[in-house]
Amino acid sequence: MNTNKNSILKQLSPDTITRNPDNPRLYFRSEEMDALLSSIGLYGIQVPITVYQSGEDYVLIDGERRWRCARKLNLKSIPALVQPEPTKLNNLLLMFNIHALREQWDYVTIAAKLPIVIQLFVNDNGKDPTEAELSEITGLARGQIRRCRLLLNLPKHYMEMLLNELEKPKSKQRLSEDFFIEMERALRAINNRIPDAIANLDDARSVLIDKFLKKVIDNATDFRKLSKIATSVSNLGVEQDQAIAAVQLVVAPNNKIGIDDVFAEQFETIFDERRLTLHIRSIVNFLSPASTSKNYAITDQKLIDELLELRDAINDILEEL
Amino acid sequence: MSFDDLADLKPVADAALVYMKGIYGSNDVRISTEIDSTIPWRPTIQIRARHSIVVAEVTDIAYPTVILRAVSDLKLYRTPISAAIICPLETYSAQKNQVDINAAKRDGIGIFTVDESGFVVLQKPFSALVQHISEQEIRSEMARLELMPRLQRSFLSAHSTYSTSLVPGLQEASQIIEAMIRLIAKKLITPSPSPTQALGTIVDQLQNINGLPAANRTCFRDARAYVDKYRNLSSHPSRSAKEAKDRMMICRTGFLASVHLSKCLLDIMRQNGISCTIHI
Repeated sequence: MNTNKNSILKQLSPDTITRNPDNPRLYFRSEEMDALLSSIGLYGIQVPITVYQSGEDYVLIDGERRWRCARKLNLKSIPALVQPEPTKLNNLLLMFNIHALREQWDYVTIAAKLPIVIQLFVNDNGKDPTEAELSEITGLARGQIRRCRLLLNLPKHYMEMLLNELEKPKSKQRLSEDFFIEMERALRAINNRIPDAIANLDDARSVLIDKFLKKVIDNATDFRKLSKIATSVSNLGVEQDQAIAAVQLVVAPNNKIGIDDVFAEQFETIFDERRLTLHIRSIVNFLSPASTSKNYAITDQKLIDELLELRDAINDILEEL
Repeated sequence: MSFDDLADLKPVADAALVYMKGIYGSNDVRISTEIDSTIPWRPTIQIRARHSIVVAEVTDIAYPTVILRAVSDLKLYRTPISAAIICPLETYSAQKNQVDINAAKRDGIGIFTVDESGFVVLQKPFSALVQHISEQEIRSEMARLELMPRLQRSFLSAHSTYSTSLVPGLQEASQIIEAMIRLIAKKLITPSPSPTQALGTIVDQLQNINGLPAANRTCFRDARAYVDKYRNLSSHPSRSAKEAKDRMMICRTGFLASVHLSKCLLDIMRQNGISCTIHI
């Protein structure tokens, strides 16, 4: 509950309350609203909504879903904490801090209002907020802010495509926010690391969406493998041409090649070897003090057996080389 | 009139409103307004006609809690209220929603569907909730009375009309009763009454037959009362909104009375070897 030392608890008619124009929440999913309505119908509104007075009426700060249910149930009055009218920036930040953290807003909802928060911050402070400052005032994690920014940068028609998806019940959404976020991350990694791989980002998006809808790309998290392919050039010394060719196979419209196919065939072994190398390095580092210290001797028979087995396995591999 | 609060259901509401205005009139249309302070539901669409109120909720829930909770209050309201759900065709067709949809139908809630192109279909006809008789109720009542299958089919047909339109449904049920009375009169009254003779007069003659068993006399007395009250309900237009409303408010009792009365009439027919050859 949002409390303020200047708050006054009142019983207000839902008809005297209007929705907050700065509430960026776009969707109220029917099933969730129906469950809340059922609860309010049975037990009433237990937690007061929060409003501020504006002329004769009141404007919602917190509790739009409860207020909507109250109106639908034709309740005569509901408990409300009346707070002083906030400044425009404070009003928006209240929305973020009250709602986004508690009710799991859609990222696109947050993203829609983020530029306004940034602009109002600039007006007040004369400079752009850093990511840390933005995180502090909105209550969002920095990762969440970065995800919002990825969505903000989506071309308009893809944003519309996403909005259309979000209107559907969650169970029916195929192109989720996560899908677009993962895809944009991968495309950004490709654009930064191997820019020659994709000539036209929009064409690539279309193909990737199409392959995802046709289940050629099984999972939104497959895009992380696309990012790995892009970073493998600088991180693992993979030939740039190989990485470019792999990406181009995935974004080619006239095949049924998914990200997983290309990754498994050409890159998985490289990444496995890289991981193995790191594990071995870690084991070697761990064993070094034991082998060099005069005062240290391994006594645990199970560990000795494991080491012997490891030595045999290593010898077998090396003999084959 | 705006359905802006409905987000993705706005086109569904817009299409349904046009359709409903065409059927129920557009003189007094209210959007998201209370029916009465005593009723815990503000329906999305409310159309107030001369003697009844039609309300509907635009939703993508098969049977929304808000209607479920309001049904009993709607039945108690002084003006007959008919209630419906307006949902996307997709919601109506989804397999997982069938249990809820059937529950809504049982409670007398109508269902409109709207497809993607805005085409509206009344999937489940509906009438005033206070007068609602579910098919389940009528079937179990007829089974309890052990009515013969032919009679059951006739009453189910009348019930189907009743579900859409109360007074014509009751009229159809009363025609079954009339047919039975005329069959009995043809056998028991000499000379047989003419087909144009008033039904009330025929029942009076039946009541006056000498040596009539007491149970039969009681049955004809009930039939006379029934004819007086229900037989001509829809024959003449109502003279006022109040009269129209009053007519609607007795339909449930009248329809169930038809079913009950048919039982004793059937018994008389059996006793007198009269075959129940009604064609309604």
